[in-house]
Amino acid sequence: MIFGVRHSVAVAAALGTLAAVIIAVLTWKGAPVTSETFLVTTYIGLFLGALWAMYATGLVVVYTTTGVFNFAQGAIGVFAAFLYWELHVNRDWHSILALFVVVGLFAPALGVVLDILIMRRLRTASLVVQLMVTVAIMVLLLSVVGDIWEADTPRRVPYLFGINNGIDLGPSQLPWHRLIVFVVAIAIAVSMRFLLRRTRIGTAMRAVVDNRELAALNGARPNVVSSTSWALGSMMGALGGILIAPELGLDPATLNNVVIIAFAAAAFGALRNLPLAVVGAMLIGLLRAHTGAWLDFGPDFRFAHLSIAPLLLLFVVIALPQARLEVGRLAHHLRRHERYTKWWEGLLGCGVVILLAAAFSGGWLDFGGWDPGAWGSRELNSANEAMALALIGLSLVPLIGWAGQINFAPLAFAGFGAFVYLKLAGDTGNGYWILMVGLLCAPLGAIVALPAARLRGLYLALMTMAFAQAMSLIFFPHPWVMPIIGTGRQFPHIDLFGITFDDRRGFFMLMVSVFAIFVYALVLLRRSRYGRRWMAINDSQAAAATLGVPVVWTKVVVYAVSASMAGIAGVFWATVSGNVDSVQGFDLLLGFNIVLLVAAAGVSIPMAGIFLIFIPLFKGFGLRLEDAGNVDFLVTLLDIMTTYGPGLMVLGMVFNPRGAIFEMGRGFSPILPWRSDARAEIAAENAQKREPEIGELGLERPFTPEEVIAIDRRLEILDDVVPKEGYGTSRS
Amino acid sequence: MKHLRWTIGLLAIFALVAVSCGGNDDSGGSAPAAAPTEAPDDSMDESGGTADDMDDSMGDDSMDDSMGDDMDDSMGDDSMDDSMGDDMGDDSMDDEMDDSMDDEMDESDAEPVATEEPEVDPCEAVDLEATDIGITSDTITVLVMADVGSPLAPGLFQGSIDGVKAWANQVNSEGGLACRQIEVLEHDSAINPTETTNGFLVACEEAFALVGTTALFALDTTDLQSCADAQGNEIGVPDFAYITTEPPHQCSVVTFATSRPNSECPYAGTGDRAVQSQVGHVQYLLENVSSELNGVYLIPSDLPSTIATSMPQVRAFQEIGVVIDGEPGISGFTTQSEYGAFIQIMRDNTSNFAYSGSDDQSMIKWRSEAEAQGLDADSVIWMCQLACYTPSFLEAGDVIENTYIWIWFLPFDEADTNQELADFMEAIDDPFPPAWAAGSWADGVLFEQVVNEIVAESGPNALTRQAVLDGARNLTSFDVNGWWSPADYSTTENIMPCFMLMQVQNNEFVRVHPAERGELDCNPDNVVGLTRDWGAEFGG
Amino acid sequence: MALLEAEQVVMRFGGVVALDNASVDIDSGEVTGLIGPNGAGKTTLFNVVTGLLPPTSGRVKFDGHDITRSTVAKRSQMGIARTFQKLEAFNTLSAFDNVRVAVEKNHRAKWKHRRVGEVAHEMLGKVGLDEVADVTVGTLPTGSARLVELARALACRPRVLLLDEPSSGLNEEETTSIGQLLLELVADKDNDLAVLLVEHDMSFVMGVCARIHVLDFGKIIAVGTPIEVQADTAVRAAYLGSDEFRAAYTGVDE
Repeated sequence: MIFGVRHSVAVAAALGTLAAVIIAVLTWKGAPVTSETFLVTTYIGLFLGALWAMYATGLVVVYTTTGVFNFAQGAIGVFAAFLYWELHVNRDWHSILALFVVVGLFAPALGVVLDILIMRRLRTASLVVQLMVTVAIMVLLLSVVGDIWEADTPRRVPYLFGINNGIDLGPSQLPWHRLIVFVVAIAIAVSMRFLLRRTRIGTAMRAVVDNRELAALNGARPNVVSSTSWALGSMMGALGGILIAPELGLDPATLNNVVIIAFAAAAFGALRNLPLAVVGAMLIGLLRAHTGAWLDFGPDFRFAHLSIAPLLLLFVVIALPQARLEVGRLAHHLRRHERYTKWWEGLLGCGVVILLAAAFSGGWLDFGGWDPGAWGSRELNSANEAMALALIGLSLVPLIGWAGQINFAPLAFAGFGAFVYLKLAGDTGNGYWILMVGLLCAPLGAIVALPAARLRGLYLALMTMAFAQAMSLIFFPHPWVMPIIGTGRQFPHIDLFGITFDDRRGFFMLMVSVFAIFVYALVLLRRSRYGRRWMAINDSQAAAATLGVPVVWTKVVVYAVSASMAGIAGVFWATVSGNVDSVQGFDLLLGFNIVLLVAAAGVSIPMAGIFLIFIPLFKGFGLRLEDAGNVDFLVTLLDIMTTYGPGLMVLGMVFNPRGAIFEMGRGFSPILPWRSDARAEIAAENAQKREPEIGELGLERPFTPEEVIAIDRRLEILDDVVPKEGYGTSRS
Repeated sequence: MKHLRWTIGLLAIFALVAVSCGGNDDSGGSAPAAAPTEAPDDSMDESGGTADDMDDSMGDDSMDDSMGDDMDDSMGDDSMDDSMGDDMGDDSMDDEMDDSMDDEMDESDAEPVATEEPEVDPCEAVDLEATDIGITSDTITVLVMADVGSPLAPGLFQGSIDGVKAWANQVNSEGGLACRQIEVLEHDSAINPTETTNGFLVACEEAFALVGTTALFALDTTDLQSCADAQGNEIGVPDFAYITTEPPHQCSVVTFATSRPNSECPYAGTGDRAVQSQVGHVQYLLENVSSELNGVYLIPSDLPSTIATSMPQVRAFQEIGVVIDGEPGISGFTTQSEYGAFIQIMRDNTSNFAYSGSDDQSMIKWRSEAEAQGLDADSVIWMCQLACYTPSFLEAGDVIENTYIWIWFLPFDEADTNQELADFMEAIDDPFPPAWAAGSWADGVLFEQVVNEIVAESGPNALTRQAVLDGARNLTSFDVNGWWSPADYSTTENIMPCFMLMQVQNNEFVRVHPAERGELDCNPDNVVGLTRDWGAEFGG
Repeated sequence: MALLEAEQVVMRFGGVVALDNASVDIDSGEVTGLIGPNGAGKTTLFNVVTGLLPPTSGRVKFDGHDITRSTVAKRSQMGIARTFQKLEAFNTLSAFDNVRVAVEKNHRAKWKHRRVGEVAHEMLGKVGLDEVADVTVGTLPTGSARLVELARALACRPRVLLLDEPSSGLNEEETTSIGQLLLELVADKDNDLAVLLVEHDMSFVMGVCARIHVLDFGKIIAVGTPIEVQADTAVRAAYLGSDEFRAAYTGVDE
């Protein structure tokens, strides 16, 4: 199907090849092309491909059988590699024993525990929640690894059979380790393919993801199946981590980033086709090895060869067959009245934000014995950074919170805003250009939205991730984009209304007021027809389309709004530090953290965005406490909260998909004197809880044997390339 | 109606901001301190009579402008000298220095409690005052900032903090500095520009000086350089750093680094820059191992700053006759198998030289891959710099055998040849400490020497940030009491001419050149200066 | 000529033929039924007609125009509206806002600039949901959510209304009133409305439909009035063993 008649794929492949040829001609290094060099390079590429294929296989198996795309696959590999190092190197266990314990015992156990504790509960959750939870697991696993194995000493994982034993290939030799990796990767892929396609359990595994009840009727045990899948996926991640660690060295961030390459490979196989995923991994491996050998990208594009995977991912995702419109998921809650935040309530909230920020930072509030007093410049500096990140986070509220469009690239938008500002305002610091930045960033959002508009949620997430990665590898490190400066500030202090915001307190309050303006704008937007439409396409694109809502245009608008807000936030973000580190500043993990925070907040109601103000407030408060030195346990607590907080909060979404803040807001609103409706709702809810729940007719109706046979027939023979909706829609 | 809402909202927000910004003054940098009093100059005269005999100390030699080969001998001699006082003399490059502190240190060496001496104690003769921020009548607070607590790489430069604390303990146990005890504050810069700026801010408000700074992302040093002293003069905080990777840090006028970047300042960040590079080690190889060298230089290309430090060296190697067959960039994401491409370059050109500008792990990958690919390792001179001088490099085993490593200080196993090194090794309590522990210790010694000169000249109450800055800026040669290559802090043409070359033999670091233990090769020709646009030189 | 025609529609998913040369035509002023066992392809046909699925081959004509390649939104503007078998209400919005989204999109062209809120309230009133107007649809019972979908579809002021099992989740009384509403709507000449109804509740189908198409394994096996269809042997064969159909069938027989 993929290599069949589809025009878009053919055109995309042709364009890609053309682009590759042009780039190759432009950057040709001029090294002599000998058959020997070619051979060695090819062998390097295939070996790298095999490593990534192993990760990709795990991803595909888990996705095909549980419907969850596991962003934590790389982190599982990182954890396993460190554990293997601990056992084998640090404690001198035999390598086979250590390998068995990690891959054979620990990894499946981790997979099963994840499944039982978390993944099973995600079954009915929205895609946003599913994705966020796996990202949270990733971040948490990496933090745990960092805490257990400190980076004060470099670690090496040895090759399984030594690097210098191998088969002689004339001038060079092929080490056993690499041969084994290659064979094992292919063997795993083939056996998984066989398991999924040719065995009864495999059929059951694939069936479970489409219809648990049905599969259960046919004798499959869904829980056993999903635990098996997670155990298998986790084992493959662990094995991949242990085998790639000798190649890369044991560094959590570096090792974890490998998984992006695996994402690209998996996407190449449309996330479900194992053979194609392996081909994709090999393709990336070969491309990377050969670009390294023959091409020379120069200092300005020095990360170009590393960006092959994200670019391919971007390309594949865009070229993939157009996804059918998504079908929403049912959610059942107790009856709840919808209520718009009134415009004066928004204003009141903004006022509270500003006063709170001023009070916290100015030390106006008295915390008794704990009173940390007014913030010093260090507290303000940290709070300013957090404040800028909160602003960036706020830009995700309409995009993720309302329109349900996952975006892992908030930092890329913000960075673009900073870049535009740098080019417009130069070293004048003229703040009026910020409005222009907002206008110019909107088209970037629209450009991203165009492919995004036709993508399903998961592909969209992958696309934005690839976009973020490509921007951070190609765009931002370019010296023209963020020139390195020798002294002073690259981003001068902002000059607005005749005031130069060169002191940190003033700048803090400036950002707080921008924050307040953003929040107020969101309140008004949410009340507008755009806000309604964004939420409508989140709930059901299909239904929105059949009502005549132009889904693509609606998405373009929300992306543009978000990009515009992020761009403006980016100016402040860059101005806080004065100089943006063009390499580390746009780290993907930082972007993930922002998205996690927003998701954890559950910002589907605009006022929940206000929650983000507490990040800078707590940051400054915590530092101030630390300086005062009188409440150590609080400092420790805040420390733990900042390291593990976002991850843990997102895990909370497993039990409360609408986010912590949403529920907090529900608890808080009855306190407001004018919210009699909220009080009535709570009262009604309490009354309702006492009555036994009445099962709903229709949906709980058991399947008739005919239905079972009809669907079963389809499950048995349907090709798994067909999108999931194929099953649902053909069963009427 | 809608427009009205927007307008009202905006107006209200601005009004609120205006109200809350009312007290807009920056609370930073205005830490109150007792008004400093001018240190009475004559206080020193009373105690200055017992000057140590400086004539036979090595101070003269160190001051010698023609730092020729005789430097080696002299330094060796000096280090072998038992007297603590002589070491201190070597410190203070000042002939006329009336060094009462030295005297005091000498005595404290013999007797742990200096105050028991019936002799006139310079510290008792004056009422110690809080002369500047971070100084009280009995303490000097210094701040050590290092990248330690990144969530993904905790503990990275912990060694720097350990180094400074060890130095402070040692100074305190010997009676302190400027008649006061040193208190060490720690700050974690967390591989993060904001936290690094925070470190500068904390130092500005709470510490007298920064000692042992090991922060990779000092992207903005405005707060460092404009910090106000107790009198409100924005003169900056003295920053005795180990490494300065970013141009704003390298060119900070208050920063004095013990690993001198040897790069021209001020610098705009782009365009031509004069940089001086150490080539003595390769010159030695050309003269003694192989008269023709051609090969590959690996450029660590993750950060612009690492490129900017590697490229000058490549060009300097070419300047003295090395043929560069390839200068590929590597990143942390480069897998070992991808080093195969570099080996292929070496094969294509029959290279006999392989130099890594990156770290030990990179060199291990390179050599492992060479072995895997069946490259004849013995036909190649493998070379690496200080970053390979680590225990974890040796852990790689046979594969790194014969790798050359050059460093600019005496190696840790030669503590018997230099008192300062011996003190360091004893205080740090680690048979093979990380280099940044040594670097931060060296910062401590640098700070100590500057302070001692001030005290010797004008008494313990003359100690202000301004005095320390002036002292450091006039320092023409500092060599960590003979342990390190000397560096000149009085000029922007920073020269660190010395090196020593080691080779891994039988899984140990073995001294190759100079042959004599305790010596560095300090030929002025070791340094080649070139002016280029280094960012653009890199091929990628 | 029929208002809406699906001609020889073929829809393949991989190896499965969901629709096999299925042709359906519906006229304004009447309710047309579409029945068949589960998996027969009824919802697929709906998806093809509304443009959510591009057919493998075949054509869809509306008012004489070929709309096979038109977008979903375009078809909506032309006057095709639908509800969904699997609920597709906007769960996080209130019932009122669900309808409002539809009205806002169509109020210039179809509602002659009447106030959005007014129209939305009118539509909710038609399906009897006035009282829950500001309740979040995700928290409403399934039956009510289906009615929200119906009100939303009506807010588009359609000429063709495709209803996918509107009675599921409703009690008998509600089902009857929906049937009544449908008959009233098609009877009103001003509306110029055609309804295509997919239903499992046979008494409901037989009660409101003027004509019925029977779909089995993607093929139309019978077309006719309720009486004709009930007598058709092919239909009997297709439904053989289906308790549901037998029950409904015997019910109507009497």
